[in-house]
Amino acid sequence: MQFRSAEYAAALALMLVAPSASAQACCAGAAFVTPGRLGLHDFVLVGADLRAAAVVGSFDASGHYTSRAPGTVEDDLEEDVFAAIRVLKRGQIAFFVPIIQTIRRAGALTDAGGGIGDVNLSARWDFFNAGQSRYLPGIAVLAGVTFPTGVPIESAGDPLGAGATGIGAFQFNGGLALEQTFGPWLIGLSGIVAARTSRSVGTISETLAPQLSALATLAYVTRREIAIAVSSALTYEDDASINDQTAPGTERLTLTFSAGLLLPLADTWRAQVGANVVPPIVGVNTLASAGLQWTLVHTWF
Amino acid sequence: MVLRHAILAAALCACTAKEARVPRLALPGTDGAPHGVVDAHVTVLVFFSEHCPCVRAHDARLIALANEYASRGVTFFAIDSEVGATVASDGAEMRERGYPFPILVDHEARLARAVGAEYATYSVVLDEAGDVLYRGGFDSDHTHLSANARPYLRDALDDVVARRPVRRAQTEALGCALRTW
Repeated sequence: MQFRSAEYAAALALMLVAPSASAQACCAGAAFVTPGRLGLHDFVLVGADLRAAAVVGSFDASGHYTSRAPGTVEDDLEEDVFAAIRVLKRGQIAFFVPIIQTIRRAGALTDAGGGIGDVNLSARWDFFNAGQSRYLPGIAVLAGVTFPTGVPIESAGDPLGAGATGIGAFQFNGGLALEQTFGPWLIGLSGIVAARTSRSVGTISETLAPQLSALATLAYVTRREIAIAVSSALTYEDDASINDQTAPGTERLTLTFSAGLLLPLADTWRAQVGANVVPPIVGVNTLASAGLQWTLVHTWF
Repeated sequence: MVLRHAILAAALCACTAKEARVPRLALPGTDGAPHGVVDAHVTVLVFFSEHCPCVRAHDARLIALANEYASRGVTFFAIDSEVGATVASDGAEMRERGYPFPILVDHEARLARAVGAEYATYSVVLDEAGDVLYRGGFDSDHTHLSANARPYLRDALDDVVARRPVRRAQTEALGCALRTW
């Protein structure tokens, strides 16, 4: 479940942000980080991606890392479908549906489960586009809501919780994205704050602390609009509250690195492949993992 | 400095003008001479960006169109309205790309603002009075050229040369955002 939350945070941050690479790097570079983000002239897009990740270890509440114990396995597979539409000239609304499968093994016990995760609706308004000004970066505000459409951990129905696909609470996101182009280079910085509603499990009321996410991206776009990008996301949330009392030792910190390649197949088709890793460097109450991602997007302009 | 540019940006966003008649500007060209942008019988202005893949993709089509219509009284100019544009750097671009027409440097983007140019490949057709007969995209392709692209600028020129109303006087340009401030 911890892994799920971290992955959701990263995925939603990426959906909301997405840099575009320059007046040239602008479009392809941005699309790499946020597959569901419309390009400069796109009106509508639909897409799908496939993510596969394996857990390699975990961080405890004190930030101490432990490699995965022999005989334990967690493999995650996720297929996302998403769509976005332009609203007025500078706005866009995106819809993101994750479909999640998990396999967990601990000793002789193996569980597999999954289903639809927490669906996200997000909006973005670009005041300026990257590359329009020498001095001012592209500036966008971000907003979104994640609905508790997934299965929370207490309803997973299996001992290892492999059937969990959501956090069981609404999540409201707001953020700011800055990006600037330098010839074929694009640099993007984004910050997102997510507030989660309380949820009840029996007589227990749990409220996750606001989650802060920061995302930095560097992309290079070739003359043929092939984008090569690297990004890093840092997600932090303070201790949760249980029955209005702070629960010490429940804070979370996750650092994610991603790299990938975006290939424009045609003016209205693009594909991308990427790898991401939560390295065993720094983290709190989170899982270290390594994964791959494949994405296909069709746009209309 | 940043605040000044923010205010300028807000003003530009609010007032991106699309004047029906273009002012009689004379801009320095990469051929070493200043050029009036409305001196010819029919003038085509195509907004240029050095790094834009969309411009690069359309270079061959643009050159072919300019060569084809030169004998029909149509004058082509590429316009570089981007911050930092110079005659020297644009001259190198003109030679490297083989443009048969000069690139004019639009300092402070006065011409771009007058015609509402925000994206590279934005094309404008003017008559000898400076009246805008067509504005918009070169064609319907972005960077992957297709055989069935809708040739917006060519259609407009056909209509103008035949002295009939332009069938589609305004379309969308699909190039990169121009860095004009």
